[in-house]
Amino acid sequence: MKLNYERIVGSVVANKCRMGVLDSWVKEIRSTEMVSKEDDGKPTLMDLPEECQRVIFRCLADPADIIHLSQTCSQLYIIGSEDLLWEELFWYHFTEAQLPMVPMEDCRRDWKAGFQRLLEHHSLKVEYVTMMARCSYCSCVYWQGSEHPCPGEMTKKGENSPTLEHRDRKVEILSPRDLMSIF
Amino acid sequence: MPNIKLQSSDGEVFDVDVDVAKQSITIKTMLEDLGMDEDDDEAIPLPNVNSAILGKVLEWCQFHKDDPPPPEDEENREKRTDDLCGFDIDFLKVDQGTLFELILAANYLDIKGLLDASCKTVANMIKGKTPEEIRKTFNIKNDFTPAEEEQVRKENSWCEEK
Repeated sequence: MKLNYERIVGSVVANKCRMGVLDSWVKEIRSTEMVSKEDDGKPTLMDLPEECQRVIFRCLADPADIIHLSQTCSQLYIIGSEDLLWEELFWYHFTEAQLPMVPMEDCRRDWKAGFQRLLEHHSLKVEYVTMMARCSYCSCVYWQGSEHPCPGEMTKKGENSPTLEHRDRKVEILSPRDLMSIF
Repeated sequence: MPNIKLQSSDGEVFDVDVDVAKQSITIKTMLEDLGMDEDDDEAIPLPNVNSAILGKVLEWCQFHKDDPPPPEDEENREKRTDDLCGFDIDFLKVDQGTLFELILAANYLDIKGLLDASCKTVANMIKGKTPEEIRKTFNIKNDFTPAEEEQVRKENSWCEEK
């Protein structure tokens, strides 16, 4: 790890303080050594039946994680190369609309190779923990799942008659790109 | 609510609410298909699960007893692993051996929710690691010859170039 000590962020004192903390972190990371787990007679990842190892593989969305796991030993290499796993991953990341780049026939023959080829043209799908939402009634932007004070809501409570606007109030879910395009 | 008795591999008998136990499809099928009488006093033997793990599994089933049934295994299931509920996160803060024993038990008893949650926890331990780090984490023996390892590394080098 290489730190750039040349550029100062914030005041000199604050910067020095932060650099000190960073230094101690780097030292700690370097001094940490990963040691193998001791054998306690309990089952390990390699003691699991294939179907359980397969479930673990299917939890991984990043092809790099799948490949790293399959590079550890021959048993996991076989499971990590299974066509069904890669077919599922293919449809998780890509849609029909992205297909023309690679002939469908080639994909059917080898989903992993098809995935690799399509990745040259398209990026992976990103999942966000929480998305921003926009209220179509008052244009308020807020975190999805939380509430916002909406005039539509107020009218309903105040006048005791649900307005048309309130019933028509729609919520639009914004991806980070959508959000940036607002400004 | 009627209870049933479950016997672990080491002979301990657990008296459990039927609805809690039925989250295990294995037990549910046993009760329904074999027509086991619910007020039968005989305990169902579970020779693949020890008392420590069975106790934990039943604790999980008790907490999740009002959950809606898990969706059928559809083709394109989501791959989020950061969506475990707070109970599951704490429940699965166990040593690796126990975690894999829970996976084995969830697989044998056919409890999809517990199997998914425990496998997601393992997946989270894999994410972002190099093959060598994964080997050390899980004590995996590298059985590739140097030539094979090089071959495998070469054919998969595309994933590093994102």
